[in-house]
Amino acid sequence: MDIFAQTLLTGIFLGGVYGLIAMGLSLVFGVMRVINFAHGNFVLLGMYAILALYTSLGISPFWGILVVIPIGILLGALLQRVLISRVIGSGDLPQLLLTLGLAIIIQNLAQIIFSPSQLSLPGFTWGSQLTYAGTIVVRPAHVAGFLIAVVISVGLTMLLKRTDLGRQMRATVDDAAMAESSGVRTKRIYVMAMALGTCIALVAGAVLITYQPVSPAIGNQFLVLAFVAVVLGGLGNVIGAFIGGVLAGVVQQVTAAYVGVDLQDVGLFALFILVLIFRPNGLFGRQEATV
Amino acid sequence: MIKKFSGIGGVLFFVIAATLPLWLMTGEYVRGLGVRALTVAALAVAWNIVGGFGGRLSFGHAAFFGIGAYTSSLLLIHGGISPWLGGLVGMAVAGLLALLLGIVTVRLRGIYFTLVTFVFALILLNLARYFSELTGGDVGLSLPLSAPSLGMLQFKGQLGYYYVALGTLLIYVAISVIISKAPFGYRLRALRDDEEVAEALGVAAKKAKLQAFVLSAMMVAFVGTLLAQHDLFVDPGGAFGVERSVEMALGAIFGGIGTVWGPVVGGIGLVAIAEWADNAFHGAVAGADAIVYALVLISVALWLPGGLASITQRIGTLLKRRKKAPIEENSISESPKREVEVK
Repeated sequence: MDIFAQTLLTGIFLGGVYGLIAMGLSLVFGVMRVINFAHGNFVLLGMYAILALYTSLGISPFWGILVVIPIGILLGALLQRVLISRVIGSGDLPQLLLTLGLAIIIQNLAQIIFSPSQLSLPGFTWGSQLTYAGTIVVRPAHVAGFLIAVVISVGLTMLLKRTDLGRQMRATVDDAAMAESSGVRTKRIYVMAMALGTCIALVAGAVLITYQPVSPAIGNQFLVLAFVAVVLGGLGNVIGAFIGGVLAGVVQQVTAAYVGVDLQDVGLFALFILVLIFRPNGLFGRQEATV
Repeated sequence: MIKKFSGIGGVLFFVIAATLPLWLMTGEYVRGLGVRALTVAALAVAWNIVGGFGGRLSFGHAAFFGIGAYTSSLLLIHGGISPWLGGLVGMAVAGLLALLLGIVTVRLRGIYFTLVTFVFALILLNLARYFSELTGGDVGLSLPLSAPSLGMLQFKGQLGYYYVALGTLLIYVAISVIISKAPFGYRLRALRDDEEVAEALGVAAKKAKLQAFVLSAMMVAFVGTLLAQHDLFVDPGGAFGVERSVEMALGAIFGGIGTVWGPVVGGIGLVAIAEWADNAFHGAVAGADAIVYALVLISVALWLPGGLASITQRIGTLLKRRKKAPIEENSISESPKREVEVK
């Protein structure tokens, strides 16, 4: 039972950060109907940004987040204005190509700048320390990451539910044309959604680097995790995506503990396909996945 | 314009391609590059049946490629069975798998289908890495050498592989031409353009989608066998990796999705660009060639979503515009109006 509780808890902690990544992806998809294949590599950017700040300037990862936030917002807004705005509404194909191209560029730039090998924060022991809470082992970095994830997702939820900007975003998610004709400046909403989504991904990366080494190829793992979480929660359902992320974390950890560590992702992917077969609109989804 | 090219130009293409090794591509390296270009073209043609004619963008066709590569390789290693037979078995396995995956995804719309296929290939990749005793894990499997012969699909130089690849491409293009003209092709395109209208007109949507998916998977699987024999090596990443799925989709998209000749031109063009970028930039910074490749993707997305084939079409519409008023602009392939009329 202890093992189970331990697995469950670790899964929830890790899942919170997956949920954060997924919320960004879901927000962008919901507002613009664009699946961002570069989203996983935005997480990668966040990880490398913190790594660079830490190794060159000695800035602690948690202060580093404050630096990463404006970078993410600027980067997202810039990408939206320059590139993504040109493929909105032109079908899946150009969007896939564009975001895939961006993903490859980020991954290879990271490889050129930081070398293809695994890197972690040198001398940052806090991430691997174990603390005992009764019979359960907790890593402080996991807890801190989870808390940050929760704070941001609550903040984002409030933003979406309570503010004018959020209402405009939700209106755009529901029906962009209708929102536009009711006076929402959808192009501006697109820029803000992309800025927010990118920023969240970078922050998630900043959290992850405190307990997980980074290498240029791992961006795809986060992308797939986010896909799984987003589909679990229902594409375009931002809060559902967070819950989906937590579920994904739990399933991953349970598979790792009871089936095999090497198969942890297979369990996750199997869940993903099962959900799409039986609940194609996600567990809390909107009606749109099937014809 | 394009139709005329399909007839005469098509024959010309294969005649030239068949004689190329005799006068231009005399070195082993260039011939090997030719094998790569032809196989990527064949993969793109096969992918195009689902992604182009059917309009369902699969980003997981590496699953079937890997099944083909591994089935024949394992049968060869453990049973000494000829890769031709192994390739057929691989096609059967891939077809069966595609049927199962097709059945569960048949209702899913555009991007959801893309996501499931993407993840499906990743599952196989993870499983292949996990069962490393069977698949060789990340080290991969080397295939046993036998006396060079067509029967064992092993040749001394690149030339034998070149002609087998060319023959495969010829058959695949023929299949593609037949489909594009047959009622089956019209059904697929009708479903792509408007599923509800097509169904209302009596197109059996589920059946047509499954047929296209299974056929495409089987074609891809055989190329998997062919490339495994060519490299005499197979590993999980090369067989089931995301890059493999992306490569065949891109070949088709770059050339002109939904056309017969687009994937051929696109597949070959993509290999040529990759090779050029590799030569030009790899020496400077490792990874720069991949960035050039990505820039090509982005350029296609922004300026040429219809692929290279749309260039000739654009010229065509420009010429027409001088005579008459323009017809429709945005369609990638031939006039969708006529397609929907077909029952």
